[in-house]
Amino acid sequence: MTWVEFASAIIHAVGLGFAAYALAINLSFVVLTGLAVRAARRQRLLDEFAGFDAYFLEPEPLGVSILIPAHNEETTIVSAVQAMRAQRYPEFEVIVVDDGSTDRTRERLIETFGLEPAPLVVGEGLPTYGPITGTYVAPGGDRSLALVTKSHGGKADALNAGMNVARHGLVCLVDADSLLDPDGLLQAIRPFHDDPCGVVATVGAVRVGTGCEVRRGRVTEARIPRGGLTRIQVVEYVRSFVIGRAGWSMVGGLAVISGSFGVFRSSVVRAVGGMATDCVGEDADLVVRVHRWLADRGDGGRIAFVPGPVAWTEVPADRRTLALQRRRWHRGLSEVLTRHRSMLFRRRYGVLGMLTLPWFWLFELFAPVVELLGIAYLVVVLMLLTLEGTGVVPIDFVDWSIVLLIASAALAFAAATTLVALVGDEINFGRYRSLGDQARSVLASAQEHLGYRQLTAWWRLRGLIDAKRHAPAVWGEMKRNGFGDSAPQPPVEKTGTR
Amino acid sequence: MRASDTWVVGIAQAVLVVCSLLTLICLLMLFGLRISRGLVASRDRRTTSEIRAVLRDHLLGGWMEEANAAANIDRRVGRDWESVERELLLMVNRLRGESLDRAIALLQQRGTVDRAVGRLQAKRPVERCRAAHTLGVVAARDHSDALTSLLQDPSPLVRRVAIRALGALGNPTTAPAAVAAGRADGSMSRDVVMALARMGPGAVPHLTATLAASIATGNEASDPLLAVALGRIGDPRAIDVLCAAVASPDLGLRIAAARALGCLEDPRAVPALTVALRESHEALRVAAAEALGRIGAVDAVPDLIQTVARGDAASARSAAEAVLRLGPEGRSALDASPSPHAVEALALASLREDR
Repeated sequence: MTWVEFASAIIHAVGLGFAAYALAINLSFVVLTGLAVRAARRQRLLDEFAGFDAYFLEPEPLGVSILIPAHNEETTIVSAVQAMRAQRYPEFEVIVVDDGSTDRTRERLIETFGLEPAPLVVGEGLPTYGPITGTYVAPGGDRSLALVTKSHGGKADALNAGMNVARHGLVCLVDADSLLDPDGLLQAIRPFHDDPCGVVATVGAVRVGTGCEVRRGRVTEARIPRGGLTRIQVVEYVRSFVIGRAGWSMVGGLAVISGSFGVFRSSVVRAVGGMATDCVGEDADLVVRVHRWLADRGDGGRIAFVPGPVAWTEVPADRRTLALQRRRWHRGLSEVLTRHRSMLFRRRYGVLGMLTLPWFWLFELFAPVVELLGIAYLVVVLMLLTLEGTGVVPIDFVDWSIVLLIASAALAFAAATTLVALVGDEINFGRYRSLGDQARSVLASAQEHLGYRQLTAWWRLRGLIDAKRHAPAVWGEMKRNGFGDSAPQPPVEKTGTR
Repeated sequence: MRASDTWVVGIAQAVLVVCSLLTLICLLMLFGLRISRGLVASRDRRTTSEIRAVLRDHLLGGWMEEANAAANIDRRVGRDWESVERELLLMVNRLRGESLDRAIALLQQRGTVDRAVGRLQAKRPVERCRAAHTLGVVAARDHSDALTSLLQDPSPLVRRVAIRALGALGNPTTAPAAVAAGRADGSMSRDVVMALARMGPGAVPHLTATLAASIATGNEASDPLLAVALGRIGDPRAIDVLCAAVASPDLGLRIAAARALGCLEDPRAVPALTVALRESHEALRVAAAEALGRIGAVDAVPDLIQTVARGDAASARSAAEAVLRLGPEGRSALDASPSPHAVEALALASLREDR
């Protein structure tokens, strides 16, 4: 074999490697979609015959403390609290933890809900760094709404402080920029009642709330926004946070619960030491630690996904904010996976150790590296093609027709996978009612692969580098526009570090 | 082209063809589903509103003769009975008194109950669920046995719907079967408790005897549901067995029994609850404190104040709230306590009074 043949074979093999990777990742999403459709069918049957309205007659309803950590969230906090207070559930309290906001988050809450100072006991069960500066309750000593103000210590620290104030046996973690469906809590708590000894945590789906019609903290009409960037994020969320999670939950390998909407037994959260304050992906870290704790104890327990209820979240509308968010997310993922790498391929950790975590390493953590190398590979191939015949590179060194075919097949499969997820979502939930919305989602599923994906791969790679360099975690500027529910206000620049 | 390239090209071409077809199918499904759902929803809205209007007329106004009510409804609505039946079954849960009787009479007149009984042995679990659900909704008490046999069904959902239906019938003779079902499948315990509670005082003798036997034989681990059900029924005949349960070795049962004693609000339970308040387990102390507060046990103030001062956060908070419910004596005891939980309870009480 001459060196030319050898080099040609290497280029060929690398191309095939990229194609196989694309095939595997997309195939896994198709399988997850199938599992998600099964999960939703099972849920529908349960809803039809074992309706959750009976919970209002429940002899011993499980009390829930809804924890909302807030840092400079003045545009969304009132809507979020209204949405939480409007939940249909017999026994719950809402605790907002203002984590050293420098805007009017605290004042807006006090003014809107008429909060009064009250000396609430802050337990010492979980360590916190930012000292508590004040506690408030709703008028008339009503503990159904409490505000805890503290110095800035980060989201995880705020959640730990909230858990120290929480009174109930279950804690629901939600983001301040999220709106929960009115029955969200009711449905998310149901698995705890149905399987009291087994379920230790539940998670609901997260969807994009940007562009939706919102009235008094409720999403009244789900819409797909017209903006290109937000529109693509809608289909991305459907694929990953609705379909992907439902699929993983079906095989018992749900690894990531978004901070936007998750319910935990507070005893379990305390037993694993609360939220990790030294990790950017504190929500995912908590879930993996809970899995680990359950497996190490060896007495069962599971984390369930509830596909019906939805937390609607505001997503970045500009590239700069999106870049910061994706960089932070990927950094968090890297930290969590590295921290728990000892769980990989260990039978005792079940599906999580044998399947989910390896999948996340291969198809989530390394995905940006592989995608960007794939782009670099295509550029090299194109350069070689242009050099063919010039004497530098021999003729037919690269078979461009094969490269083009493989690249097209990979792209077509990726786009089809997103469409399959959209169909799964439509079959299961049918949230988006207008044909215009459907058309926009189809358009977004194609757009996602033409520029957006490559950009996010670059941002995610930078997150990976941040994690390796242990760079200080910077929240950066987050533009919040709110859900269009409250009185119109100018966008607010959110700044801060943790 | 190399030999290895041939199969690569073949696979890539196959993937492209499959993806193109998949894309086409997905597009058709996305838009087809949306359009058909829109059409079905608007048709259903029209039909449902017509049916509901006619049913409301019949159930509230009684403008028809019972004998030909169904025929009249068919004539006015112009739809098959299935749609009417579906709507009626949805409405029944919200009806009371004469309207409920009329609705059930109408369903029986059109053979709904007989059809449901026939479907109890259907092959598909969904059909069996629907049948059991229907029998529960129309409170077909004559068919308790058929529903009881469904508690052995291989499908967990069918068993669950059956236990709910038995609860709707409220027949206390089915209590043993319900208890056995709850013991066999822990995930049904909540439905079993609700069913037993709906069976009422008639179920109490069986529940107390079963619980007493479990405690005597040391086999009480699966019986917290009995204690919860007894608390829910609220029959004072359960006091003795619940007090014994609070002292049993099984923690789950002890907690459930303490809560049940709180529901009964009977002062005879105070000694047993006071002992439980001194135990080491947090959840048990919380349950005991809450129960003492509900009973209004002024005698237990010293023990409650001790829990406020020395207990963990949850039990101290529950004890402080319980003491507050005991009136002026409790309030003055809290005033004297330096515990932050006492301060919190008093501050919240003061805010409530100011309002």
